[in-house]
Amino acid sequence: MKAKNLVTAGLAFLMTYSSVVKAQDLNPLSAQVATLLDETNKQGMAKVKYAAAEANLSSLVAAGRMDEARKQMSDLITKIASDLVTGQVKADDLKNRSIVTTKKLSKAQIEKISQYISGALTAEQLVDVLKPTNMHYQNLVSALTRYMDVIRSGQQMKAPTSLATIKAGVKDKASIAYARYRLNLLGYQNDAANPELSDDLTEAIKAFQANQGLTADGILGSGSWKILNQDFMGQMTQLRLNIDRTRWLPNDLGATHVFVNLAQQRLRLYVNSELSLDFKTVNGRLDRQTPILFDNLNYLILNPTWTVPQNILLADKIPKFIANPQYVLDLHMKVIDDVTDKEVDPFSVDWTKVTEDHVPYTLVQQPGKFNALGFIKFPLTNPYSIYLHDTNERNLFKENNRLRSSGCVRLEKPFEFAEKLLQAANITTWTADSLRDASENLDPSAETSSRVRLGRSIPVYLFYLTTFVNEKGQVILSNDSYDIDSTSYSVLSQK
Amino acid sequence: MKSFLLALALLFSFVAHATETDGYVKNIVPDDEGIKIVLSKISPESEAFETKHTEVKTIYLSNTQPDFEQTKQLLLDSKISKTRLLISKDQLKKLTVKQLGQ
Repeated sequence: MKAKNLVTAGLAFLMTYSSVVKAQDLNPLSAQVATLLDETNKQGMAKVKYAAAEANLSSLVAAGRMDEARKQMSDLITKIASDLVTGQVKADDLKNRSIVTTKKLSKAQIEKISQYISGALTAEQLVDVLKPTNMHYQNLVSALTRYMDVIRSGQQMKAPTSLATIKAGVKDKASIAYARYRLNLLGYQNDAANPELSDDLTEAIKAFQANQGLTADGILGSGSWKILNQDFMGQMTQLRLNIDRTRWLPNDLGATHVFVNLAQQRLRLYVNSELSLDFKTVNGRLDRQTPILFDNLNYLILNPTWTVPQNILLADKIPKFIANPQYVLDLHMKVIDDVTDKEVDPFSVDWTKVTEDHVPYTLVQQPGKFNALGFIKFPLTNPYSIYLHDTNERNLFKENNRLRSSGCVRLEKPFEFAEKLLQAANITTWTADSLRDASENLDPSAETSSRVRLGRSIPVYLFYLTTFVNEKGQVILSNDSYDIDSTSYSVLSQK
Repeated sequence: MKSFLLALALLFSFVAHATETDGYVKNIVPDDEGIKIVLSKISPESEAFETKHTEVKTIYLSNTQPDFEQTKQLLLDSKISKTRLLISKDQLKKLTVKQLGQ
């Protein structure tokens, strides 16, 4: 989300939060709605979405149209409670950037909502049984609670007019206090009462820098301050938008699962509910964004082939093939005639006749170190050709912004990832080293791909969180590269 | 009047850019960004279907098209049932597929 929008968004949400009318001052029907909204607000839900319906309810009560008012109350409570389960913003709102099916409420959940409407449950009890329980949701709500507690207790701290670099010898106590406050808010624990620079603050700064992909030198300079000192209310809004998105995730992610955070451009593998691997990824470029989707991994392919996408073929390859068909062979590609399905000699093809409307050949790159998919492919089951794979462009992992693929997810540590997956499936015949040996020492004349079945289905979540909370409770902030936060905010703001 | 003529010109320009192709699905080749549809003008019942190259035309369906999955399924079904198709491509390269019958 752009900085200006974040501030505006933050203000809007905060105003909604602080200007709420006390439930006891309302008529009983409106009070029942307001009480539920207070509880769901603690779970990160934005009240603004229901303002028009609330006003309508008050009007009906004021006009004495009680039957209509009761129906309005019942519908509104059902809507708020459903949104708590399924998200205020739905996956469909992001169009094809998200390929996730919206959850449906169970009969038991619908029954609980009815019980609240009839007064048999309190709002707190209803929220307790309906709120999502996946770890990302819980972690983000805990982070939001820290921000809300600061507001409630009036302990919000303003940034000093000038922020000093925090390093050995620093005298600026206001900057030290402010650094401690902002780091604690993000979960980088340190002694907020200590006015001096001490080891706990240096360690908190280092952890923050490492998580943000900065040099972890423990010196809080302008680069680190720029991220740490982002707008307080904007960060709250960002947390709320991300909490809402985690409502799309299943409550049980699976003890062993793969979680790719597209915003952070990192993959996390959890085995038996413990973090097993965490490494960088390369994701879809802006015009071919990797979508949010939930899928399964059943097998991996060693030494895969790669079919050159038509766009790349026409733009990058054909002009070079026209100049010299030997280039096809230099790239270790085979030319397949799409009509006969047979391999043809690249020198026998008139490449000048290949145009956008006439591409009767498919180029398939053979296995090997030059292959665009690298040595291992991790296929998924979706129909959009989105999968995980190694790469022959490993230098891209040195870059901070790694939105470079056609939508697939390229992996920094494919062999270690394969080893852990196979171990999780009780397949111990392969290690990262033996996989690497088998791949790198592939006989070029053999040109064979091979499948290794996992014998189980491992859930894969391609997800998007610009505020991610790690297992230490530390918030990691990412840019909204795919503009998904800003789209979500626009959806929430629609009356 | 000027803006009416401009609108009319834009409309004609849009129509001019929308292209249509008909034929039988000879092959469907997937890659990471979508599928290539290899269309033949010749009926699969014809003996020339397997060998004749001159009548082949290819059209690309991007997997970012919102109805990609349904369109791909329709193409696969048409290949199996040997149904003739009319494929339209608009300015934004969005494909619309209609079955014309065998």
